[in-house]
Amino acid sequence: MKLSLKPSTSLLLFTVTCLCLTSCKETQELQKQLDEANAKVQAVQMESAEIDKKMADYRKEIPAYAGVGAAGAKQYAVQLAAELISVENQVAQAQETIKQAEAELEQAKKELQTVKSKDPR
Amino acid sequence: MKNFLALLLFAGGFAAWYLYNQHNEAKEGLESAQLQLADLEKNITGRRAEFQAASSVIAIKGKIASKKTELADLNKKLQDTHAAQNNTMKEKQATLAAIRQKFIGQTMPMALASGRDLGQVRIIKIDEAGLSVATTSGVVKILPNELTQALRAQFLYSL
Repeated sequence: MKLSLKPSTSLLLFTVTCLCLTSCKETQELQKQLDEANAKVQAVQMESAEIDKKMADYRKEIPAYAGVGAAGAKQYAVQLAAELISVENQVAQAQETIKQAEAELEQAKKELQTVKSKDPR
Repeated sequence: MKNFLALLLFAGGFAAWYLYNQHNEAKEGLESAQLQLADLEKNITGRRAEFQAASSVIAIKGKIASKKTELADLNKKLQDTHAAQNNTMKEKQATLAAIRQKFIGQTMPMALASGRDLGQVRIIKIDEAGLSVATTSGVVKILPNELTQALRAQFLYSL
């Protein structure tokens, strides 16, 4: 069977085909964006669940007097940072004291050796 | 031919409806997902900040605990060093006392750093605080700093 179309029909078919293809391409692009957005939603939901899980343990470490939320935690972190500096200073001081005590011990040992060397026994 | 054209029109119409529907669904889904994402981001921002602050609290607490352990070890070491120093000093004093004991009972001529001549003396007591000697005129207590340099060295007061 020979298919013969009028020029107007051919033009119409061509136009419809072009529109279909364009629409298809646009839909694909939208679908791609939708997949990306869904992936982001999923990632944020996972992050949220992870935060909830960890915060359940972390909240026990923050005393009630520090307050609640990010502000409370930040305030407590500042307090702890000050305490850390204080402990670090104590450690440095103790190291210095030990250094002096060891030097004194060495001196005492030398003196003992000198005294022992004078012992005629 | 007419039937074919009708079929073609129907197929074209169906395809157009299908693509339009697909397009709409994707568009609505995207809008919905974007709204949901914006909502989630809004909710999670504050919690992220709290989580970060809480994480730093945990990290600092860990550091403090580690430093406190280090400090306890250092204090223990310091105590041990002081104890060792005390023991060494005690041993030194005991050794000095033992060496000085041999001078007790000895008789020797003695002149002090001040120039005072005690003549022949007998040592009757000697310790860290000084020595007691018997002279012809009685017992004299002599402090280490009253002795001459040579006698101080002899009685181990210069160590």
